[in-house]
Amino acid sequence: MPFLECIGVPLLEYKQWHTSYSYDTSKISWRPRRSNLLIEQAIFTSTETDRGSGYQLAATSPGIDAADLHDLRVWGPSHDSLVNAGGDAVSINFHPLSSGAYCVSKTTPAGSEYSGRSGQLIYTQCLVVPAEVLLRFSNNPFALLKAAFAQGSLCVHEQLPNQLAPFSLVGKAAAVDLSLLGQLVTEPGPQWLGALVERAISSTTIVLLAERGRERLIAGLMNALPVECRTAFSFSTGLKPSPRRPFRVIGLPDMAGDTSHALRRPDVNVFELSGNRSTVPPADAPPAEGSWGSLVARMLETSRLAYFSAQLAHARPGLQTDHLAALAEEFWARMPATTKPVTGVRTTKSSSVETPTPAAIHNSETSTKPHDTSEERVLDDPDTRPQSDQRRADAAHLRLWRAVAEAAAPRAASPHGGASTTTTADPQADSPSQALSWQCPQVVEKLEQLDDLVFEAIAGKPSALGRLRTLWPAVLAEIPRELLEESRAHYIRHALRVWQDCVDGDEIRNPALAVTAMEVVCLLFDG
Amino acid sequence: MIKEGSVQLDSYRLAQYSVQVPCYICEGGNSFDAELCRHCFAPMALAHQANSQKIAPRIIAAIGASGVGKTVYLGMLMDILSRQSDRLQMLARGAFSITLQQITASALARNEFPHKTPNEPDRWNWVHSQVRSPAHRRPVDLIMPDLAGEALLEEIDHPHTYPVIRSLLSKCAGVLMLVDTVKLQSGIHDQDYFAMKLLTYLIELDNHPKHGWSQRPVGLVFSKADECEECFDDPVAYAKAHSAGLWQHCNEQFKRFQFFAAGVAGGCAYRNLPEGRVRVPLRIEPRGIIEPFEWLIDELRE
Repeated sequence: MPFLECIGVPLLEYKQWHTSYSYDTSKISWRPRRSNLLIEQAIFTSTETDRGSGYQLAATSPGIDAADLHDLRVWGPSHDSLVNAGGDAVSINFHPLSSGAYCVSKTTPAGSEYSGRSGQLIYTQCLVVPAEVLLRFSNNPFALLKAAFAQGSLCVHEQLPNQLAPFSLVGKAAAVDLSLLGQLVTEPGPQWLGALVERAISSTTIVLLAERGRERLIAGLMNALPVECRTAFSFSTGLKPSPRRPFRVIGLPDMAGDTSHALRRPDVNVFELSGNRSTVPPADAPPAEGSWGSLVARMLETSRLAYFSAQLAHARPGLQTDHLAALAEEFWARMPATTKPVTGVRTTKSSSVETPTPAAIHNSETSTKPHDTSEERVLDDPDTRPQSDQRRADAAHLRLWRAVAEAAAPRAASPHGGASTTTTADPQADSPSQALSWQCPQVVEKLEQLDDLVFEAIAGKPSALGRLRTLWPAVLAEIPRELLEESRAHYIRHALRVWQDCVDGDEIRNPALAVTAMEVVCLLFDG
Repeated sequence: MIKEGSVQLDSYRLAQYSVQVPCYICEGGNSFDAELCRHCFAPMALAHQANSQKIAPRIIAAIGASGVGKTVYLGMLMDILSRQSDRLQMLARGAFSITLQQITASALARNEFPHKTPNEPDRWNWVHSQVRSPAHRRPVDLIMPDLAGEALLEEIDHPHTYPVIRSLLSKCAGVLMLVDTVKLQSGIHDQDYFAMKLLTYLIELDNHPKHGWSQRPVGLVFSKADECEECFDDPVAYAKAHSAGLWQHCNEQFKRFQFFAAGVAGGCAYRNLPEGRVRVPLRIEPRGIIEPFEWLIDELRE
């Protein structure tokens, strides 16, 4: 640009400035360009501000587009929007925004109304997530929310700040949460889940009627879809339906109350899981043969979750729900006859990465892997994970399992130092006791509960530490030590990292959080 | 086997969907069996009822900030007018029109105020009623929604957030604007500013010199006036003293306006509940409820 050089503006500086700022035509001014890696925040609740009182966008971070702000105001839930009235009611919500970003929000009750009127105050924390960041979490809003919570970025502010700060979210998620799908095999069962998936794909709007576990079911639905199709399924796990919030998947406990008018629309499909039911859905519910739902059902029935997950891990840009039937055929055609079913996989909720058992590693390595190109996204293979993951708190998880697998089955070392492909059987990993323990749903549930409590306690949730003190001795007594050691090491590493950040961080230090992290460490060292 | 007979084609039933029914509020097209307008979420029952009448109902609105008492005022108004026949009588049209009266009366009977009105227009209570007066032969058909105060504020600050409000206020024949006396008395002028914002918004909606908002009747009601007796004595003087900006604004912008004072609860207190501190009425003593509405009806007849 010769003009700039003529007036003395160095070209490099101009380019650096131009990448940092964008022109906002609505305000006729330049504003800092939103970084694609930052997650913006907003809080929609009832409060008194200088502008006015009542339900409004009470606080926002500065990088949210005007169009996205408008969407947040339209979608924001106001008074009496939660279907459950209890203090522990919660709704996880996900919907697209005009700018191409997505809103992942959590709605909870938060005390009483400022105006002195009866009824709970509804508090919604919205995360405005760029598409690139959501893709890193396999377009799974539940995984993203867990990571944000583990990081301490989700909290109810007693005193609303004037402005919120955007934050970056580290980590990523596997394409499929195998432990969740494993739980759903038990309840409600493969056929029901397949029917739910197929009904959701073929409906404009689906209302899922289930007294309990709506969040888990909708999370299972998201995990059963290809990554590229997940963003087309906006959902709410616990908000009353409203035409202003046209979610595609709505979770409700029943059809009673003021939600019934939403169910009478002609484009709404009702899928009921409430009440007693057999293991097989009714005659009109099972998915059609050859459909994506039937594929999901068969994968769950025949324990081919690892293969399913590996297939979904491949990137398929431009994939839409119309193509799912053809994709299901392709999956069946590609499935090798020698694929061994994986007996059990456990994931720790704290890490955004799946941590398979030695049996799973061995079995997945002995199976015929599909052709991988450099552009394909293979999130689950620890050997192809970039080096930066070695600096993460859960990196020890993977190194431990690799070490266990290698020690149990000596293999020829590869040129790159990673695990080689060997077909030597691992008697210890394949032993019935090892397989049985990992497969036990009670053990998995206990460990999941422990995960939740430990990370809530480290994040500073008041009641979590007390409950952890009760649960930890019980878990020690019930679960074999070898199943707990890896988790304990992981928890301690995370707590120490939090403590280190609090003590040595450049930002405002939080001694209360550091003390809580230390208390968790001391508790975990007991026993 | 019969030689001849007629069977209605099932596909003929779809012909009804080819004719769109316009919403009475926003005039957007909807299918004949829609429960709510897909554009503004107003109930389509209003359109169906209006289509069945010779004279189209007129729309009036009770507007004001959040917590000013719109729900209580409208509910109490309906409850009083539905029981008397000597002065003004209100007859509800449609079962949905009774809901507001029922909610308010039930809450007050439990010594509670009604819950906060949600922001979502599909959860608002709408009233379609016929108002009769012994002094006039012809009744007046009215449609009155119970709006959420924060929805009004959002629409003013961020247009098109609530399309129903813009459509409604454009079509309103008159409004009753409620102002919280308690806050004015304590020196908080948010109510003043909100009222001025609303009035300015109305003028901007339709500033036609002959049939714009400057010519339409605007009743300004000091709500919760039971906690401020001087307001009942002389609402105009109270307005001049405590909301001078609002008084000045009305004088300059509107030809037909009047100040009133109204109260429902004879006294209020706070009750400590598990969910927090809740304001409750100690007794029900409606005062000045009918006068603003009566004035507005008389203005509409002119």
